[in-house]
Amino acid sequence: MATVVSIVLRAVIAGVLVTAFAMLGDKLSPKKFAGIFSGAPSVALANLVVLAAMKGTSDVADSLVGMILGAVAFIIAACVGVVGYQRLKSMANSVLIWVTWGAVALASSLVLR
Amino acid sequence: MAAKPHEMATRAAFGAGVSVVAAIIGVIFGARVGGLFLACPAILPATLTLIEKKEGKQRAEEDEHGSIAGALGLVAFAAAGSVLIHPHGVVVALVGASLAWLLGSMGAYAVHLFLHGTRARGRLHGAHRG
Repeated sequence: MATVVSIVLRAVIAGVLVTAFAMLGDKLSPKKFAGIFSGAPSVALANLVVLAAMKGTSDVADSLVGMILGAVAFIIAACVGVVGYQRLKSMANSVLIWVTWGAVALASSLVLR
Repeated sequence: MAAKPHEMATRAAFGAGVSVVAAIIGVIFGARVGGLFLACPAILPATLTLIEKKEGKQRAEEDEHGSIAGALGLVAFAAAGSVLIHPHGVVVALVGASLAWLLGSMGAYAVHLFLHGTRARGRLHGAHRG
């Protein structure tokens, strides 16, 4: 039951933080600067706060180690996305960004396990 | 141009969805593997698609460039949090990590502007010479 509550709490808080950062990004200009908020740590903050409250410091520390590799995967995916934009429509490029991130993250998860 | 409520809802749904995936993977495979998903490009694809639809490909491409700076900030967030958590506890670690994200992202953006400006000046000089 505690696990379900934890998952629901993370989803709700992440949804609220993502919306807040997206609204902030929408208000800012130029778009290159606003794009910083597309990479805002909204999902991370939501998960780490709930994890700290329900599991403790050790799980938060482990999550942060995994997050470093996830963020490196994000950089690689974003760079691939920049190149992809010159050739693809945004929907196809979005899929490319997700697939690239997923492939690098999957490789990283093998190292972490 | 302000996003419509349903567009905001789309982004929120992406964020909530990725959060649920991260939580479930963390429960099954452990916190380290779950942690990978804390740096998932959750709202980037949804944001780019919405921007391209509303403001054109050029604007979406600019946002994509900015997201690289944001991603560098995420590395700073996670690294700072990892360094701070054991000596100072969770609260200091998360506040420090958030500041590191902001400074890292802004720093990367400033470097990008500097390099872009240098290249633009180089092109201008080249054009004058030509």
